[in-house]
Amino acid sequence: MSPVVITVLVLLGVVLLLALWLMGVYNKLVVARNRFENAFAQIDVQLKRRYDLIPNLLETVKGYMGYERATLEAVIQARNTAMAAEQKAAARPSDPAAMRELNQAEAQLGGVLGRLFALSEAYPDLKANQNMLALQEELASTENKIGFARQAFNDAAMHYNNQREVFPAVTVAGMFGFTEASLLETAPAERAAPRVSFQ
Amino acid sequence: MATDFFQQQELARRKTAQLVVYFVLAIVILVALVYAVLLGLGVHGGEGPVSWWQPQLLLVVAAGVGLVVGGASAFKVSQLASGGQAVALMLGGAEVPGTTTDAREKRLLNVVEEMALAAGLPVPPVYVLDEPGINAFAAGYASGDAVIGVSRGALAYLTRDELQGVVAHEFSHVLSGDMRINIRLVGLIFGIMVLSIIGRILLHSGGVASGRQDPRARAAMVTLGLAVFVLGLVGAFFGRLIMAAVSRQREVLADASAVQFTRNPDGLAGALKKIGGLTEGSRVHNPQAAEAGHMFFANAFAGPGLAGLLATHPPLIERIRQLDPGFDGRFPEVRPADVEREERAGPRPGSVAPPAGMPRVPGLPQLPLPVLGLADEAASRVGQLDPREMDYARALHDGMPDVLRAAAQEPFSARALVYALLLDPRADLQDLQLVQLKAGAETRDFAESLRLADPVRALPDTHRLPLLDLAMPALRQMSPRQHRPFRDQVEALMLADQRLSLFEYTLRCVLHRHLDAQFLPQRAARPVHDAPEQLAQPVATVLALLAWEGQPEPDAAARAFDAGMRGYTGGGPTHRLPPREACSLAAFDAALQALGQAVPALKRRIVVACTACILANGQVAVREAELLRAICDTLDCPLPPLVVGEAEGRSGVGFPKQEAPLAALLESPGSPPARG
Repeated sequence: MSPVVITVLVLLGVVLLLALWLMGVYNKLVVARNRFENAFAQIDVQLKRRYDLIPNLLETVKGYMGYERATLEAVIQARNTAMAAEQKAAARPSDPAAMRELNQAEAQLGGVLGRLFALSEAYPDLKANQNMLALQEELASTENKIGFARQAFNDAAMHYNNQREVFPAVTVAGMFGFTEASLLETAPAERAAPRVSFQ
Repeated sequence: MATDFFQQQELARRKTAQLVVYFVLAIVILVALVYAVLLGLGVHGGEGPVSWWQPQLLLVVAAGVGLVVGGASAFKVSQLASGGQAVALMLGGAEVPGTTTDAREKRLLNVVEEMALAAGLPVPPVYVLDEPGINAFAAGYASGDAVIGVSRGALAYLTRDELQGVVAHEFSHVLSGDMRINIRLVGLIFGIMVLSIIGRILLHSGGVASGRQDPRARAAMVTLGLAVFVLGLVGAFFGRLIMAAVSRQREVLADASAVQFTRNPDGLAGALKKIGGLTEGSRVHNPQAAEAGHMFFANAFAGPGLAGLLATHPPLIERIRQLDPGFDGRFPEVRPADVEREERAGPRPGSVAPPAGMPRVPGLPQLPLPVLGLADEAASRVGQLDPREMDYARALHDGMPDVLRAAAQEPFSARALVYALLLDPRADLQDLQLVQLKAGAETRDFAESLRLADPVRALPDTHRLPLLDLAMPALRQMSPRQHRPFRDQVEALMLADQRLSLFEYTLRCVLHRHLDAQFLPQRAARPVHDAPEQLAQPVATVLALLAWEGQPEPDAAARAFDAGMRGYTGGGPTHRLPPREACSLAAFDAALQALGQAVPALKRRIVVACTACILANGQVAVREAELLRAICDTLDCPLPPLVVGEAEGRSGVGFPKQEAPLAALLESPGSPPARG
């Protein structure tokens, strides 16, 4: 048997291994990326739900807290900014810039909402209002769901980042434009979200 | 069509064996051809006469081709077998969250949920592909990790009935084990295709590396490359022919099953007609779909000429004529379907008229009560669906209280829902569990569970497992890091009350089987048992518990046990009913795992035996039905949830919520059972 044939066969094996490996890595990255992008949909639904609740909240609060006009307007402003950021992020969950914007807008919204609730403490009538109680409970439950979904999203994004950073994959990731995913931070207001007790 | 689930499974197994034969044949032919080409090259380049028989060369060629084709096939199969979700994600599918506000997506979810409840399957995750054509697919390795995918176009253009027809078609693939064959087919063809890819690379590199090597070697490389390329293409062509033949046959069967499930040929026919009427047709643009053409509902790649021979699906008109013999071949003009008008909250027109005999719960619709007369009937119902079951599932689906249905749609609440389902109805035991939950879970999880505890307690027993089935897609959206504490918490809650009730056991079976498949990946067990005697002992263990579960009296229990054993062996008594103290849930569990590795024909016998044992006293209680469900689930035989009721058509008397005597058996196998 000629040495040419042997060289060719060895070459064949190497090429095959390389090709299969490349495909495997590529597919794994595609799956991991789609997984975390899908995980964002779950957050997205809850974020939208919260943005829908806020006008109702303001409607209820307005009658009692007419003097806090500045705060109310700040809430509206922050909600609208956050909504715009959310739409951008939902269109491309793998875009770090959009994600950063959403992080900022959410932090802002959380902050002003927290201030609103802190101020509402001074109005006993408002605190006893059935509507207000229901809204507070709904908001708290939505926050919880956002928190849990965010954790799942971050886990999936982290998994994707880890997969694309390990040595052989990082070359493939560079070649095919698998950019790093950015995580969602916890908004400060969430920690201060009104707790509803069910005792 | 007369074949039942088990025969179909057996058939699928045999078909796989057939494929292996084809596969080996293909490799042998390829080896022979490559060998011939190399010999030819040797003749061309060498001097003097060359022997036609060179064992060394043949060995090298066989090893090379075998490695290439076998390795590539194994690679592809392992990739596709990693679960339906991975396949859906590879195709670029976006999962539809249960909480979606899009009316079309909501409708799709409802259709899939109803179908899954009717089949006794956990609800599969649903994916939407961003494709304008009308198409759909089912992917997964077993019924437990299946996913359903639907194209955007199907959502936009199909009415509810048509969508239901398409989803029923896909469910038929899930239930008949088609997906497994499909995956192996894809692997085979991929392995052969790889040859042609390598040939192309050789050709290319032969042309490029012109300067350095001597011209003879270059010529040899080009010739070899060309030969391998052509061989790979020809091999892949024949592979596709096999695939198309197998696939087309399965598609016809799936169409027939879909009609049988829904008893509405117009829905499926309507969907097919719309594919014909739409310019996009059923095309799928995603390049990743190229190897998965046969997984789809209709031809994913259209084309004239040769494509017809390789088409993975029968011609559209032929399929429509099967369903609607009067079809004139003219496709309708397709307009987006109006969804808001159709999908309303609450019961739809044409909802079932509820017969008597259901536990009456205010606010819940009365459900029809299917009667299970013969043990054989249960076995023939596994993996099948009929319109009665569809109606039942629809009523079950519509009757689920809103607060619980909403909770089942979303991971955070779905976890709390599982915790709430685990809470014992007895106050003292429940307190123990609550203490455990409060200590083990986060505050917000605890609060959510408490919120759901009351509605869950008010739920009739018949609705409890279906509720878990509904929650399954949301639970699967957890990350592995979230699943671990959840699993621990479930285990802790089950043991917190010092007793494992039957429902808890069933829930644990269903939950672990389906979630562990995703989060703790393990290789699927291969069927190893095919002799009935091998499994007589585990069957006896399972039946003993079933018998004691149904009949507290020793005589009646022994009769039930014997009836079950006769159902299994078909002959005289071989085993005696062990005393109740000797039965433990742990042994039961272990026996069930052994039974899970039986071949389909044996599984059928096991289902028959269990049903015969339960039916020995002429009635089926909810808790017995639940246990049967757990057994069938472990055996991977989806059982429609309809076995609750009395045999022989006697009027129902409702089901008093009984304590499971079984509970006492788990923790203290030695002590006499305490009756609650």
